[in-house]
Amino acid sequence: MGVSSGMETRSFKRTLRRAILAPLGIAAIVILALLAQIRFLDARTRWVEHTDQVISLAERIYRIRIDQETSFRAYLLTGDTQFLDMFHQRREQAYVFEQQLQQLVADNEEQKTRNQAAVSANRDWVVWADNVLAHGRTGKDIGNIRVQLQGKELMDRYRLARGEFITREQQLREERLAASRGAFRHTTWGVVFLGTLLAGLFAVLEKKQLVSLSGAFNASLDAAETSATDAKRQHDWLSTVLKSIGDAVIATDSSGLVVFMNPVAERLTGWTSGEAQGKVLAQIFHIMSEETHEIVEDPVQKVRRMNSVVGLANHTVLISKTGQEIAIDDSAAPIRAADSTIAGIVLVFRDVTQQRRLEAALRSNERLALAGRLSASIAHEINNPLDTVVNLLFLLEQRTKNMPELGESIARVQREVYRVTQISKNMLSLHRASRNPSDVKVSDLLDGVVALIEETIAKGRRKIQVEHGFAGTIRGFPAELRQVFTNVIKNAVEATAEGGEIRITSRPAVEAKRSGVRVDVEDNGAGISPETRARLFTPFVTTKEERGTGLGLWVSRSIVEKHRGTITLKNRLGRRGTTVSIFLPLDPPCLNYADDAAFAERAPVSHAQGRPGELPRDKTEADSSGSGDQDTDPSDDSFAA
Amino acid sequence: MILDYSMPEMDGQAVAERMKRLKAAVPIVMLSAYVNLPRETSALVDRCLTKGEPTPVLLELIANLLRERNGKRL
Repeated sequence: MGVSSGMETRSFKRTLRRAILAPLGIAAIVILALLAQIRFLDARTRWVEHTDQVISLAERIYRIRIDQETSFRAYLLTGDTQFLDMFHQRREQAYVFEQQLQQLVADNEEQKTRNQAAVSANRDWVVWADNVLAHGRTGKDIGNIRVQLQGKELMDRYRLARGEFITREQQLREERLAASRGAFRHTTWGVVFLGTLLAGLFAVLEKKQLVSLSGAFNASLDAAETSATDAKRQHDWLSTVLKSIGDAVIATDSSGLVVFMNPVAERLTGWTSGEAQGKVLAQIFHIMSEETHEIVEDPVQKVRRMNSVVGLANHTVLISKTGQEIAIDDSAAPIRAADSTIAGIVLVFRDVTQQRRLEAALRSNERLALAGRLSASIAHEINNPLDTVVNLLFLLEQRTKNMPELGESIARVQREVYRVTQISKNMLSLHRASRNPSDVKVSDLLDGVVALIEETIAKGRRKIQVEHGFAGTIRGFPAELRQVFTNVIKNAVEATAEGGEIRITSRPAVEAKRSGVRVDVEDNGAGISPETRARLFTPFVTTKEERGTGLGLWVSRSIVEKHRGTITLKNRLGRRGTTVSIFLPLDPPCLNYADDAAFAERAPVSHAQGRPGELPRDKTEADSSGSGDQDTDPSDDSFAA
Repeated sequence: MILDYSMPEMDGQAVAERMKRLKAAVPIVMLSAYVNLPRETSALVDRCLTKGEPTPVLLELIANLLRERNGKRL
């Protein structure tokens, strides 16, 4: 493209040169021809002028001679010498003029001869006149007719000779004038002809040249346009690519001033490209260490120092314009100019906040799983010796029936040991993944959760009211359902101020043609803004800042959905606070494993966990006096298949 | 028959399987310190019970089992 464009330009210049030089050459030739013609015309004109000069001089001489003759005749008639003054005075002048005339006609032999003839005729007359004068002075009669006739004859001869000369010269003038006129005519025609020729040549040549010139010009214009379009297209494409990149990109010039930001960078930094333009990078890209909040080395400096691509220190946070902290992962690279000096720096970074949180959640899950395994093995190690203790105590109790004091002590030991058993069992079941659905009595489940929450978070400073409008059971995973209600009720408690009220109601309900139970948890707390509500079921969104993981409602919803139920959240109509409404179908499809169904009915493990009398276990656990009741609780039903 | 689950050489599951093959009518109670026994174990035996439960619970369970068995026999 560059080469072809260069060629176009050269061809364009060549054509342009030809288009200007060719007419100039033709014009010069025409002008030279015209000049020659004009010179010729000028010479002709000068010949005419020369002839005029000759004629005029000859006539003057002639007049002088005639005057001389006239005055001489007057002398002859009167004898008065006064008349001779003119005759003498003009003699010298006439002689000079005759010399001049002789020179003027020197180039023309014919006229030269005629002039000489005239001069000689005049000399004859002058000689005669001088003789007459000499005779006169001697006193001879010179006034007679014979003398006069002699003079007349001589003078006539002169007249004839001079007349011939002038006539011939006038003829010559006519000829030369005609020649000059002809030359003028020729010149005029020459000018017209050459002008026309020139114009014609111009037209032909220029047309050809202009066509090729405009062709060359268009070609070079097209080439320039094409290369400009190509350059623009390439620029647009690159700019689109940069803008479409999922990572944030900031480019600076060599002094570290921002020259480019893509939309992702705008979003993360909170600065618009326009605002950031020309500002120091550190102002836009404000980063610090996530843990220590110490300032991290400016990437511009770092790139300059290392003179290569550099990654940022681990756990860097970007402080946006609005003060928001965003965990980022980034790299900075020098932009090298053609001479390999650093022309600027390009930063590429991405938001890894979500990733960091997921990593943290994963770590905590791993910890939970580890804790689960640990507690399982601990519980097992405890249960074994406990069993021995329990059985030995039973035997002791049998043998000390007649010793009331000892029997009382043994009963107390039994209660305490039972408590230990329950703790160990709970510890284990807390971390046990539910595999088999079972019948869950909703009222027991709710009571158990409420008891636990009242004891721990609410601490009696908030009023929790429970209304059981549904006495049946639903099929599900008790541990997971307990987690759902724990989360929701805990949220309600935390949303209310001290002395707040929480109302929990259960009632039979039908949703999407399936019958089930609806549990509403209402609080009279601050309520939730619509913006927050829209994001509440998203992981890591929390209104509790430091205390919340932002996972509660997300986990709750996934559990409810696993049970084919729904969970909705709305502000209470006309009152302060929030209502969380959970619907759970009685017998959710696809929840049971085909082979589980038979097993679950007689699964003693699940039953041992879900015995009606034992369900508010958290409460039992917290209530030390509860353990004694268990001994007398008839457990036959729970084991009856 | 009251069986422990975790035993040297042969676990409760294997023992229960053999015993059921020999005399299916004899009820088996699996008494283990593990709360979550494998499913196939709980399906095989008549009852499961966690160690550490009060002795009367075990006694009543046995009584129930026997009563059931007698009822079937009648």
